[in-house]
Amino acid sequence: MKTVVSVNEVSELDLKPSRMVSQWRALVEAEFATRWKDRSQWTTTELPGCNPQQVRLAFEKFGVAYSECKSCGSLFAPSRPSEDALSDYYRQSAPARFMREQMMSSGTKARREKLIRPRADWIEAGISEYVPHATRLVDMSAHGRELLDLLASETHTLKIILAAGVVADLDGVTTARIKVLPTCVADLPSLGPVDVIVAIDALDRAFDCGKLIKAWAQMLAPGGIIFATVPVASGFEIQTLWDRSPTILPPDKLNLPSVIGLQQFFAEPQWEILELSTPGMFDVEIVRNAIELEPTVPWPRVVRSLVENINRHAHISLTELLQSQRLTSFARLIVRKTV
Amino acid sequence: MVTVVIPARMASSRYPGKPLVPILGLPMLEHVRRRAVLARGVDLVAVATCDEAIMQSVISYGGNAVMTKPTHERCTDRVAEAMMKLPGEIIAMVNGDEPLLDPLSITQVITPLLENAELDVVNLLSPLEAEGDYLNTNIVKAVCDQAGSVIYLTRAPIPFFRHRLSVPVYRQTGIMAFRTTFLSRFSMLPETPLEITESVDMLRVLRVQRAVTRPLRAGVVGYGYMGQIRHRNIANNPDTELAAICDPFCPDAVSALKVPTYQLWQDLISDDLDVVFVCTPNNLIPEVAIEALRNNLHVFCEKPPGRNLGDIERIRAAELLSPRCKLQFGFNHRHHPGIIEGKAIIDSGTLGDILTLRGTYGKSGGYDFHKSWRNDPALGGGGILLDQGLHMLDLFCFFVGEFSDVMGMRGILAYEIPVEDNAVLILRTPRGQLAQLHSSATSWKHTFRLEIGCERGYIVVTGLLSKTGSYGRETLVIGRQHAPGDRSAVGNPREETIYYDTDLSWDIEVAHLVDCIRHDKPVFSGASGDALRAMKIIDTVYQLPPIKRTLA
Repeated sequence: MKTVVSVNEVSELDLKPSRMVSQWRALVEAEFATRWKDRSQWTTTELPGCNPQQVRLAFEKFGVAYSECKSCGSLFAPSRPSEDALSDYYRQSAPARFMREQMMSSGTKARREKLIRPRADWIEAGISEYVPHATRLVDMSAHGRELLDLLASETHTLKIILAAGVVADLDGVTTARIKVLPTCVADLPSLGPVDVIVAIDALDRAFDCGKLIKAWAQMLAPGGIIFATVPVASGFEIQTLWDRSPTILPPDKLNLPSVIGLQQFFAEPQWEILELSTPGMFDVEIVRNAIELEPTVPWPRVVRSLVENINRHAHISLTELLQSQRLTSFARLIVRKTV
Repeated sequence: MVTVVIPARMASSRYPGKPLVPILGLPMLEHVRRRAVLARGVDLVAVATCDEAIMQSVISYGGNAVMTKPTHERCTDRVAEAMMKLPGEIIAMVNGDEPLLDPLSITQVITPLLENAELDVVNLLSPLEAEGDYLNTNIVKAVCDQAGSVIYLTRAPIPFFRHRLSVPVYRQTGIMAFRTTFLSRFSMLPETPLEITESVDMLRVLRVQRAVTRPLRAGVVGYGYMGQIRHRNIANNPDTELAAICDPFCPDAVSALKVPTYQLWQDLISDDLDVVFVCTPNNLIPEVAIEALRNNLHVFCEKPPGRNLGDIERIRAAELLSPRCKLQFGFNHRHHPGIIEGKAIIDSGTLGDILTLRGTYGKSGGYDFHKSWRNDPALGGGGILLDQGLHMLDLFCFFVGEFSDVMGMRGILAYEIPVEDNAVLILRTPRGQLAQLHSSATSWKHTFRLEIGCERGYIVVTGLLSKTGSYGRETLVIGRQHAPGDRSAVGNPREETIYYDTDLSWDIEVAHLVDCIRHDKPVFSGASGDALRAMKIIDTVYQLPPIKRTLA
């Protein structure tokens, strides 16, 4: 297993202007107040590898209770809307539309250069290293079309490219290279066998991570690989800001495994984790902004001294240190199905 | 190339001495050999025997013969061993007691293999003509399907004729042809119960087809640090099993392993083994490796490949005489994760051509360094350059190939030892790429650093995953030349750093050897050519003695 450290000088604000983020958060909050006022239909679920006897209440966000696994440190919302209800939210709700139609198109150049391009490089290099003869790829990312277009244009060995995320049809249309086929988790195995699964920000919003990973196992051909990203609870930003973390916002972030928890997701012998990195670039910036925003909160003094008044080089060095020790709040992993 | 092998032995159960019985003035075997030579399409005819008398007889008539072990029960096993010493992609086996052999039958048995690459074995059958032969249990009968493929072989009278139909009854002629890759696999398969019951070795082909193989039986000579690592590699590989150990110096550790143990390596390599791991001090490596090759064993040698250039040249000469045996050297650094990924990046061409290499490989000798056998020229052959710098030189060659210009100096700077504790080399490839190496026993901090400068960027591998972690975390840094528009300062490009947690290098190289043995592929990583290339560089630098530092 390897860990990749890559510090790209970019600000979160380059990708998501703060005004829009605030607007979106307000929409999410309002949507929760109306759409999920009645939560009697919500169901409970667990994270793979976590013992339900070992969880404790961590905090609430928009009335959604988050629990922490005492054993591995993962965070998750045990009670949540059903898979269909979540799907409907992502297709129909005002915040989801806002995200799709306005936020994703803002900062397009920076987003392409600093986010999409490095992700495409990561996936292309991974395919070339681990599955050079891959011909079939399924994408189930949240808002993955831009990345998929890039992969389709640059990875000519791929013959079948499916966009199977629940809103894939709202993100783009079928083309000569990409077939759009939104698919629920239960139907995913019917798309197999595939060589590559791309799942950017898919685990964090999955209704049931265990079922999703099982479906991936059924879809993948032996030797096939998954590229996945997910926020991790064990990272510096989430550990520091905890309930104040802007990263944790339901229903997008229902599952936030720790790095250890993430390894437990793929602990069965059929999986081999080839890479587990935390290349998060914004932890230091987010923590600094949060402290600036709420200066009266009794933040730990050591954290203040770590992130306040540090110059650009120290900021980069701190981010590099966090990445090298898998301590940022954003993880990426490559997992291979061995059998 | 097609080779005919005639297995023969004096200790025939029914007619001792049969091969040399004279018929019309010539031994029976010589009749067979001369008829085999007449067959069209055959390039070489050789007798495989365990008897000196047969060997001398064949040679006296100008024929070829190879010695094999006396323990073989089956002709095919004897032929398989002979093929370790003989060339040829296709081999025809002819029994030595067929003085009336028709040369055409050899041509018939090899032709299907020459024409159809899918075939591995051809067993030449002939119709049973005499009625008495049907009941004769000395004759092996064959039942075939309509396509001519053998369904079963037996000494019993089959098929049973309840109704008179024109079903031919076939007998085995004893003339068979194999693809040599198949034969080497076949000979490693365990005997099957049916084969033993019927005493028909070709039943093994039918029973197990090509898939099932027993693990390779591995012996380890030298059970020190490296021997124990190799033991773990053997245990980790599903296709190898530890079958014997030789180490006269640590009997307790060895006796606890519950495998046959030997005090003498000569006894170990005479055991029923497939492969030998040579993990001895440098002075013993050539001796053990050469003898093991002579014994038709595959060989894995730790580095360095002996004490000097002469040693590796002698090993290579022995390798040439045993073309079926695989020989690999332990250049495990090639299989470290940072090197594997760095090589993949370089090979992808994204960074452009390699311009320069700079390697530093150093260790802290420790308090007892001067007492180590490695610094005794009689045992080790050289100093730190041979012991550790060799790995870096191999990596240099791994990345850029051969060097045409080599210059170097070595010195005795800190220790009271007769060999160098530091060496500095500069090298140039025929294309003008430059390299420099510092190999040191006085680094105090264990150091591994390989920098490769390319046209459009660079990679740096630092640290090495090791048991103690003393070389630091293994890390690959990838940097790219500054591009217009980059926010990073010129001369300080954005770098990507990859940390590795798992070193499978030892297992990977053993897996490579097993793969080469199983599929009869040439060793392409850690081959004797790689060892020779690195040793030539060292030999150049060793032409001058190490200079001792003078005190200020």
